[in-house]
Amino acid sequence: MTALAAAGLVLRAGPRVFLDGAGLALAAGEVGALVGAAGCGKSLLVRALCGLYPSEGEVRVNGVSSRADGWEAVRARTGVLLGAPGLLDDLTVLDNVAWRLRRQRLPEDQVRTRVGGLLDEFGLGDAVGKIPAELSGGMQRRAALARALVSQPAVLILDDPTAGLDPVTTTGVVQLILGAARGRGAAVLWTTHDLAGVAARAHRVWVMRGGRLDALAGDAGGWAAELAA
Amino acid sequence: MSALAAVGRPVLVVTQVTGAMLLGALRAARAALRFRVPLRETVRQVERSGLACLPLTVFASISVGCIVAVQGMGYVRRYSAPEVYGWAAYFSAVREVGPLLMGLALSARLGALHAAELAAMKATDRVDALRALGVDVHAVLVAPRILAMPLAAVLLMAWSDAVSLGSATLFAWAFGDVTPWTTWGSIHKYSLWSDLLLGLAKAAMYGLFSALAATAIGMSADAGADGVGRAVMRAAVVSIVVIVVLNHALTVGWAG
Amino acid sequence: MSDGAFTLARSLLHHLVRRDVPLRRALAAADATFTGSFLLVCAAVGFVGASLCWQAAWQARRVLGDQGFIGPEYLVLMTTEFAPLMVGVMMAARGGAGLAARIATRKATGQLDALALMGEDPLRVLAAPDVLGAFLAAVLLAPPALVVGELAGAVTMKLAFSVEPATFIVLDALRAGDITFALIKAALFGAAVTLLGARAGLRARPDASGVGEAAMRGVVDGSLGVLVLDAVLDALRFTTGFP
Repeated sequence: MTALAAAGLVLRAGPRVFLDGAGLALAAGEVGALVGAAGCGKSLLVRALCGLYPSEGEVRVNGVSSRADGWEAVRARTGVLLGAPGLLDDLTVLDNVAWRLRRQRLPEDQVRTRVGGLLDEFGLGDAVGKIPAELSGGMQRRAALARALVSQPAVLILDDPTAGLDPVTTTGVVQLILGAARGRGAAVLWTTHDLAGVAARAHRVWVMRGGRLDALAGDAGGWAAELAA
Repeated sequence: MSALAAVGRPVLVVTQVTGAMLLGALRAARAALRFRVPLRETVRQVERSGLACLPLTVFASISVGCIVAVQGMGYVRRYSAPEVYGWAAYFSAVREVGPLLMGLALSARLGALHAAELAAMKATDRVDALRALGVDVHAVLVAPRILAMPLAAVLLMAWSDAVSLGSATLFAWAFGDVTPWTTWGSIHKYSLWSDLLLGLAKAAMYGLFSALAATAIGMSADAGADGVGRAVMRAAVVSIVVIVVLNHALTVGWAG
Repeated sequence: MSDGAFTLARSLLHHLVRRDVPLRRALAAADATFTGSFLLVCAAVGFVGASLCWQAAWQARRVLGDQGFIGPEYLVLMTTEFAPLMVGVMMAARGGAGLAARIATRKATGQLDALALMGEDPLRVLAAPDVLGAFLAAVLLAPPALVVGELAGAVTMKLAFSVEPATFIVLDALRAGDITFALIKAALFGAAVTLLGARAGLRARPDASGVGEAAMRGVVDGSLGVLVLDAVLDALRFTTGFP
């Protein structure tokens, strides 16, 4: 089943055209990677896929359409991690992660069990009552990831979640994300510079260049050769 | 917050800011005396400060006109003496209420502007980059703003005098049957040039002090976005307090 | 994102009418604004009141040889003009700039995006409590400002001109409408400066200098807004006679 489908995307910023009628699709449980030179508009595409940046075209998550059902409905089924963790700075980690569940008026005891379990999974069991300023950068990022996953999204979209991390931490973060997504059957789309890591783990790879999204075919070796060409 | 901290924090802020202002004044004076302040940059600062404040000046001056008209018409009503209206309005507008309100408006506007720019430059390491190039940061970035603000304040105050007296005249004509001819006759007959000059001097003084406060606070801003934001807020508040206190000292101290 | 101040005000009213503004946060904001601005407003009104009073008395003595009569007029002018104006200007410098900087910082650190992704209106969560809180705080700040301004005038008159406070303070000069008008003014000033501050914050560029510019915009738009609103309210009162 197709979890994420985007079609006819036109992405502009001022006079520059980043995408001119491109699309992509991911099935449930699949991992997709989005690569491209710095400044090619990857982050803009991520923002467009969740309706934070205006674009033409349509995004569907589990069949729910940004056009027919509105962005609100699409976002409710999507977990997004942008460049900055963006935790609300006056709320505790618990309150940050629980926000969506409380908004859905879930009973408070259920909220606490679900959020507690999620935070334990992400190694944040001790940080429940802390505010973001008391956490390290890595912990903030994990808390933001927990917040993105709390409402069981069908699709997880990540904007370069390993940016600025050392190789060891990168491996840990990648495993954490992929493990969490696999356990929930969510499709994952992420933008990255880390070609080796991507090549080993992604089912699909797109290269963003010249106003197009080129899907790369074949296995890891093939991608590397095609990108080098 | 304990009572001690509640008292201590303002005291700390006051001493810190006063010290930084003194230091800023000394450095600016030294740089100016050695002719190391770039003239072109100073002129540019005067020009942009003036332009930035034009709309605010008009509204503040109309408010001044309104206030002095209410005040002056009190005399007219009470003693049916329309021939003093012009003088009363002139005295309040150019020497007392005008400089005070203009000082508040300009200091908030320009204090926030300079603090925002300097704090942002500091937060993005551009100040340190200039230092690393061997540039005398104070002479190039800070002193022109300190020197420009009194100049801009005097020019804007003159413009404000015209607008506020004009609107006070119109208010009295519309609501109090004091004709413009009576008003201007009264101004011509009783008013002193020294009052006008005193008002302009006050404006220059307010400009100088709020520039000192704003640049000192801007240059000592903490890194990061929230540091910049806090610096701007603090600059606006401190400028206002400085002017309110200074105004009191000048009004009551400069008796006669 | 809603842009103009009027659009902003409308969607804010919408939230208020639907009563989904977090009331507890509004009260906390009111408390913070009140305690943070109280000393500042009182000091400013005190100093300004003292110098205005001194100036009016000096002038009256020179023109008419008598300054005993300025008490009632000072009281009315302080109530309907200076006290609300100083509350407004102080709140623009402190509350307006502060809110603009806070919201702009949140924008720069991705918190506004995060809220939007969770289906929230940043206006409702981040701005509405502060605007409502400032409205309340300004109403609470106006009466102490009035009292301090009047007392500062009385002290000045006693020390500089030997006018007894009993002669200077003529409470009969004040009509109930004057006090109502002062409270309405202060409340609207408080709401307007925070609204304009919120707008400046929401429109900020998401980086450090953007935060600085937003805070500056907050001060500027706030003080300009207060002056314009003051003129409009004066004109309305003059033409309608209310209150």
